[in-house]
Amino acid sequence: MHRRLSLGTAANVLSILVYVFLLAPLVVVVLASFNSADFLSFPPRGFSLRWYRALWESEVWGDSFRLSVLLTAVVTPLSLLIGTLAAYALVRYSFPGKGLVATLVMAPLVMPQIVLGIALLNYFSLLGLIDSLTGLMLGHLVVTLPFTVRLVSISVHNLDPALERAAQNLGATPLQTFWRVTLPNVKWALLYGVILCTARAMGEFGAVSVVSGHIRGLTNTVPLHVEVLYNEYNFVAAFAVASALAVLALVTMAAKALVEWRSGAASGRPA
Amino acid sequence: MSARRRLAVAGLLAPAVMLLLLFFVVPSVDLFRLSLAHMDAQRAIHHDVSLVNYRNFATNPYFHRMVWGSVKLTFVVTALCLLLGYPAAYFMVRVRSTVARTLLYAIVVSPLLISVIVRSYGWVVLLANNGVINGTLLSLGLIERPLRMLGTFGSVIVATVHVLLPFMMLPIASALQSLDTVLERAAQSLGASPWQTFWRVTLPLTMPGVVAGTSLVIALTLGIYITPLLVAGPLQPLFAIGIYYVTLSQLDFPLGAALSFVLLAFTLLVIALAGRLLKTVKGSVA
Repeated sequence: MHRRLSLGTAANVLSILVYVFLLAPLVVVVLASFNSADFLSFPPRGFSLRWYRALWESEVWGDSFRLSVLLTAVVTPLSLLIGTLAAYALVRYSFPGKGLVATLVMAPLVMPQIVLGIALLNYFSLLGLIDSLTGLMLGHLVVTLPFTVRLVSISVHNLDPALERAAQNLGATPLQTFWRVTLPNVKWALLYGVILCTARAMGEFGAVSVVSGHIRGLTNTVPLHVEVLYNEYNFVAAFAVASALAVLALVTMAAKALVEWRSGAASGRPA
Repeated sequence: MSARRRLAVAGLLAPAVMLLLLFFVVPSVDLFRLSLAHMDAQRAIHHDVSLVNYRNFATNPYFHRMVWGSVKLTFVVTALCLLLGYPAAYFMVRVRSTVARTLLYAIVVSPLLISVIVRSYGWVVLLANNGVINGTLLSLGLIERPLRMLGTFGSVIVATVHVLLPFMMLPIASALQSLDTVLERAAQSLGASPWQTFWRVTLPLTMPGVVAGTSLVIALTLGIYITPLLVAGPLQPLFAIGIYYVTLSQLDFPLGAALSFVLLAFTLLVIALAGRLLKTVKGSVA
């Protein structure tokens, strides 16, 4: 009994430290952005909101914020639409080449981001899409697609196909079945997909940073703007934008918790 | 399959397949074509097919050092993610309070929702010479001058583990969730110690989650570049950073393309090997 306690306690202490480790960098970015000094210092010189005020007044920040919102507003619905259709076909039908299509759809996830970035940079320069909003959107779409397909697949997989067959036996067309039986049952997965896609599109930095020409107001999204500020030694301002991004993430996380709680309640299961 | 059904499948898949063919497959193939071209001393690109860039990679010790750095990082990061991630996932799945479980789950998925740039700069704030850790140690009088942490290989390890830990924990947590706890209780009531129960019941039955998490972390560490770039600068001997430097600073696209394909081949090879190895382990334990 004694050994069991010590082994369990050690594992629990380690686990709690892991969670502190996961949380620490996010907390300090937010705290660092309230520093009144011009540079990174610890302990902070004093509490100040002046970097947030500077952000609010800066046109560049507004431009990058508007760009990120526009990007998200286009990418998220498209990614969900394309992803849902593909996920439905992959779960419900068997057809030749299914394994190949499933691999293709998940491939952008394991492709090293730098490789995808360089491949797109080279390709877009041939197409004349370099430093353009279209190129940026296509890049985000490729990066978010595996997430939507996976999310919706799980949900469609858990949906009893007997429900769809019943609807069809009762005379519903495939489209009606999809619209009135399948879709209402996967709506929480879709909402969850909206949240995850929004978060990815607002925060995406990997492959997209290579493709974007860092043109202010045109292709400089919020995360790219953070790096520009940082490289200009504008540390605290960079942390202020970063913490604005972090706050945005907290909001999406709260929304996600709400969705999970609601979907748990809706299906009669504990969340 | 009826013609109508085939049409339905084709219609459902067409948008996704078209998007990926046009903006994922074709760009990759074109990158491969570019990797067979080469750039001369006057920075002109010649499109005659040659293996100059691949030969350059094979013979240049500069690139070997970067590959070695990436292999070292991958090994350490994967081991740490596994050792830290398994107990933490277990703790999250088995904690009694629903509120605590939801909270821990939120912490684990937060990296999927928070931009990698925010997380990387968090480590800058913690590890910098005038950062949180040095500031605390200095004010406690434990050290006389700041320790240099930012820019070291150690800082790359810490920040990379932080970014990738959730990719290890989520598959393990989902495997633990679907494990029937009756099996563990049965082992214990038959006289197995907690350690025996873990080693002979829990771990073998959650091996699919471990396999999935490990191969994902390996693949992602091999290709990681933003986090090391932000915490340790462009001079870290890591393969993906080398590709970034060759392509975007030296603007040698053909060489960058060739290095990209070497990295891609490494990644696929390691995923295949890791999956195979762990499946054999799984087979022998179960």
